[in-house]
Amino acid sequence: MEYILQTDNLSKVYGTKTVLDRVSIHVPKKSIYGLVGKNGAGKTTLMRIICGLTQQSQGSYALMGKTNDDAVRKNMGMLIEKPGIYEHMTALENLHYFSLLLSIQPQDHHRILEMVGLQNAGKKKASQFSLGMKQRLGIAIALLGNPDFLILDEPINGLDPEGVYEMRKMLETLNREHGTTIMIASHILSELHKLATDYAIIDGGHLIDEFSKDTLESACSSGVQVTVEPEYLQDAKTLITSRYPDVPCEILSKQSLQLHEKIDPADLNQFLVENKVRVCGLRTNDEDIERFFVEKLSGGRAV
Amino acid sequence: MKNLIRGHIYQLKKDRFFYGCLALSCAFLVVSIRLSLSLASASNPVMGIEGLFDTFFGGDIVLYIFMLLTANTVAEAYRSGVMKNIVGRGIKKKQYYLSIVLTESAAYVLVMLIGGIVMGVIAGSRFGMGAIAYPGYYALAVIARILFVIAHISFALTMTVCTRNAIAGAVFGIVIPNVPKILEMVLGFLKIPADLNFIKISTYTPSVYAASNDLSSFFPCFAVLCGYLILSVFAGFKLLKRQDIK
Repeated sequence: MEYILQTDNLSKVYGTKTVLDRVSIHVPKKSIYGLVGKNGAGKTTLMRIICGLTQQSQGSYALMGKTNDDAVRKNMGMLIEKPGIYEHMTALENLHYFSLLLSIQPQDHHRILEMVGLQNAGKKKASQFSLGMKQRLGIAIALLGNPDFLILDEPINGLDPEGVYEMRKMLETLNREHGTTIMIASHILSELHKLATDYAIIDGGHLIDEFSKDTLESACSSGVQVTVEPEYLQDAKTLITSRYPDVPCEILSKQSLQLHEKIDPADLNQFLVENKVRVCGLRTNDEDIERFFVEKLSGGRAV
Repeated sequence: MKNLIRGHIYQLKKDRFFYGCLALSCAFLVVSIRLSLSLASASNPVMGIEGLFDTFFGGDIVLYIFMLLTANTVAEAYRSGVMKNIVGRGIKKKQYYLSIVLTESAAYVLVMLIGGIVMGVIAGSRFGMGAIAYPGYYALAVIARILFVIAHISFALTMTVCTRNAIAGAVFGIVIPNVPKILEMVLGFLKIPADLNFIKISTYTPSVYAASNDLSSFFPCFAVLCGYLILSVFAGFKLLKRQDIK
């Protein structure tokens, strides 16, 4: 698989505080890579290092196959924390300014403003924009020059529900039609789940896990999760398969099984106990993405 | 680099602070020209060419205004977050630094040139244009003045990169060339005799009244000016390289 970004034990220390500790992530090309983590987890620090806004204390990263090459960032767009815009200029003037700096032809500006929903911003100075409009302008600037890689830190901050929807559609279109790889950090898991094809969970500066959407979906799909004592795992699988032959059953770990359809948990529990299987726990899961991530962050189940 | 300069010019054209600085500079130039002409008389004429160069070589107040403009431009880039976009999109920090210095210096030189031409035309219409008696001196003096301007703009820019504040950047930028003078004062207070004229920028400032065929004074002049400029640019590059851009 080809990766647009690979980090190798990336660390960042401020004084005595380690904000990023040996993080190694792999962002596949043409993916939408979701970075998930609590406030202060290190997501923004990781993005700032990749964008060259701060230097790592240790480790390295390869961006578009190259290390220590600032020039590759010309093919990258970014929106980190607040949007960097001149408030004394209009939206179009901001785009024109950055186009000059980046040697980009100006003819795409109206199309870009339309993509982010600022086509009617007109002669309004950015100082008169709402927070959401400023955020949209920041994204418009990130889109200048049709970048191959977009890094967006909480891009839907300040957007109204319609704006969130439009943003999601725009990012999906960019990814699907232009092959733009997008790395996006967000707290809003429901939105991220609709977009991302790959995920990384960061907590306390550490990478907790990195997995694809398929893995996430199979772990969170509707069904029943059974936890048994380890020596009874194979027996439990055999029994369940015989009792429910049409229900897909998957071993998740050395103690747990996942049934990918909803069945009566009381019935399942009674059946297993009657067949001398020692059941430790039984839970129905119902696309509970939030619970999945919270469990991950609190050191819960592995995928 | 060319595109960076075009971008800075575009940004300045949209910035009200730039027009305020221009207006203030013009006001000072008008006052300076009026003062010079009011002191001139038939027995003490100011010829056109002399007036042009004298105005061009003067203008330290206008230079301080442009230092403040430079500091404000860069401080605004930090404050607004634009600096993040600049660095994050792969624009080299050194190129950005140099492009700001060149743009602001060129703007200053243009303003002073226009002021000089206005002075030259008015003085010339009253007392005649005169002639350039020492063309070599004037040519080198123009180069020295431009180096002087670039060095000061660079001071302001480096100090703004350090402090990320326009006022602090401009003030420290004005203080730096006066460090030898301040050192002399401190050493004098401590009763330690010291003569640091050899590293003072002001020692070598060219003047139309000192024009002669002797060009030897320009060697130490260029050496000191280049020394200050290289030091400032080097410090600016180092600061930018290590800095976390917020």
